[in-house]
Amino acid sequence: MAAGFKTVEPLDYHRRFLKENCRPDGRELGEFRTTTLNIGSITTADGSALVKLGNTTIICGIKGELAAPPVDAANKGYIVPNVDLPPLCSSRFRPGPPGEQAQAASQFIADVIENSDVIQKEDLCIVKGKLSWVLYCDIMCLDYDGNILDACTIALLGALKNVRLPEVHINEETDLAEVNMKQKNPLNITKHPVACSFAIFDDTIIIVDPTVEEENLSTGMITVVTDEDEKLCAVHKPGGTALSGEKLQDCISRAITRNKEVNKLLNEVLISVKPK
Amino acid sequence: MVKEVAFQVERAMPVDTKRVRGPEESQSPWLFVQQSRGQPTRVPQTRESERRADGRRRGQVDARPMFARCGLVSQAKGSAYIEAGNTKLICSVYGPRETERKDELDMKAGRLVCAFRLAPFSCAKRCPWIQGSQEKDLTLSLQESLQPGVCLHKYPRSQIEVNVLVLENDGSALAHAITCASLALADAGIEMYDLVLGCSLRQDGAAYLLDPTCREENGDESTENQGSLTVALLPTLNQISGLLSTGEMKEETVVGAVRACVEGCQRLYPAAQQCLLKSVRRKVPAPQN
Repeated sequence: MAAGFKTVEPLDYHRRFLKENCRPDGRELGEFRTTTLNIGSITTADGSALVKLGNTTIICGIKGELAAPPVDAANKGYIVPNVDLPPLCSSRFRPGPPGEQAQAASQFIADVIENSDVIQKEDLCIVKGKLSWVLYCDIMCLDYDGNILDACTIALLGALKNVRLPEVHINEETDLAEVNMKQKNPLNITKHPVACSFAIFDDTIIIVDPTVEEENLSTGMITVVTDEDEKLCAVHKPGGTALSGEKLQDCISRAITRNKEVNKLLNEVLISVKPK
Repeated sequence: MVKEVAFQVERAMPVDTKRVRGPEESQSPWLFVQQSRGQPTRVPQTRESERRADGRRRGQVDARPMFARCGLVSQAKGSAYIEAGNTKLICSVYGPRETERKDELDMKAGRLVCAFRLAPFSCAKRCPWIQGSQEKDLTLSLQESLQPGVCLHKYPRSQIEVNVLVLENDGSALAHAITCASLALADAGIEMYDLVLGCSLRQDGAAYLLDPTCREENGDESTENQGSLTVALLPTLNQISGLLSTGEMKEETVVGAVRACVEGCQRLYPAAQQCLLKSVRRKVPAPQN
């Protein structure tokens, strides 16, 4: 009977739960779904991470390639994130070029990397003006159950911490690069940004970590990215209902707590992964 | 003048405006690896009794142990994940759905729409986002192999979508994709005549290597009798639904290779059945007696 009511009046169904300060899957308004993290499973990639946030599954694979540094910044490398939402993850996505949501997510991840200084682009430069690393961070969604932005940032962070790039130096005589695959070094990760997404219901109630049904019924979404020094890196609020200052402050505090939880999980996983 | 400019633009790499862009050109570091002198990259294997890199035997039906699991993607009707050695792939099935076009053929039977995709980080050299001809070929092979196994006449005016994503390619991706897709179709409850299982091998001179890894697939061009073979089989009916062969091989070798692949598929069957049984048990709780 509940299933029938849910199909016919989904908004009312959710409202009844929210009145009791809980959600259909039994969570509280401020509770996250179980987060599982698996690092380094893809051996062909230089770094990889698989994140499961409840049912939402995101995999990030990082491959390093060599290129000439950009003309306007000869001492920097490149970091190119791309989020893909293939038709595999949900029936709402059609095959072909990336849709609006995928493009928005890619741009969001690019902004997070830029604003949070997670990695210094100068570290990616091998020889100034001649050779630098390009880190292609390809993020793919395997199961779309809401809140992909959070999962994407965790996956990206996990994969970056797992990256092992071989040593490269330029041979002066031939002027060609020489790569030593036997010597691999990790990246220097300066900051650890973590995203925390909220959905706004009926202009007043804010819930954390929405599932795909809750996202569809929400009247607004907001994502807050903080780093481990309790500093704000990014706030992403694409339209939707307006939010008062104090509610925003609550969101930021919740995001800071979430940051600590995720970083703790990440450290535990990294300790358990045996070094290659 | 305009025509000339258009021609120049076509020659360059298609600019992908919908994705975050990196540098115009970048090379894989593998191209610059120093070749250590006096040691060839491939150790030539001449004797039949010598083992392969991972300990399996040459000339014997020795496939990698397969791990299969159904029902991973919560949003899909049916899904399956296969891991064989380092090759990892995931498949999800959506449908049957109403089809957009309504022509004569659609009225009588359904359609199977397949998509085979390699993740950019799946191969040693990064695959660009835009699909190349290799993926399109493999998609077509996948569809042709799966079609005879599915009872499409039971789903008129509908289409069933099969999406395969290769997370890591360590050889015989197509063969495992066929197996994965069949398991996902069965998990989705699509009626089928039989599971379609895939097996591939690499003919290396006199002996064959069943279920080759990526390194074994890129064979030595100098020796003769080199080739690859992928076979899709319906085990209970013992019928071959797909066969893909590349390279130059002698007639007897090809016949022997097909037999080896068929045996490889038959050996895979119990594992596939176990996987499906487990998934059914998980979905439907045991009746209370």
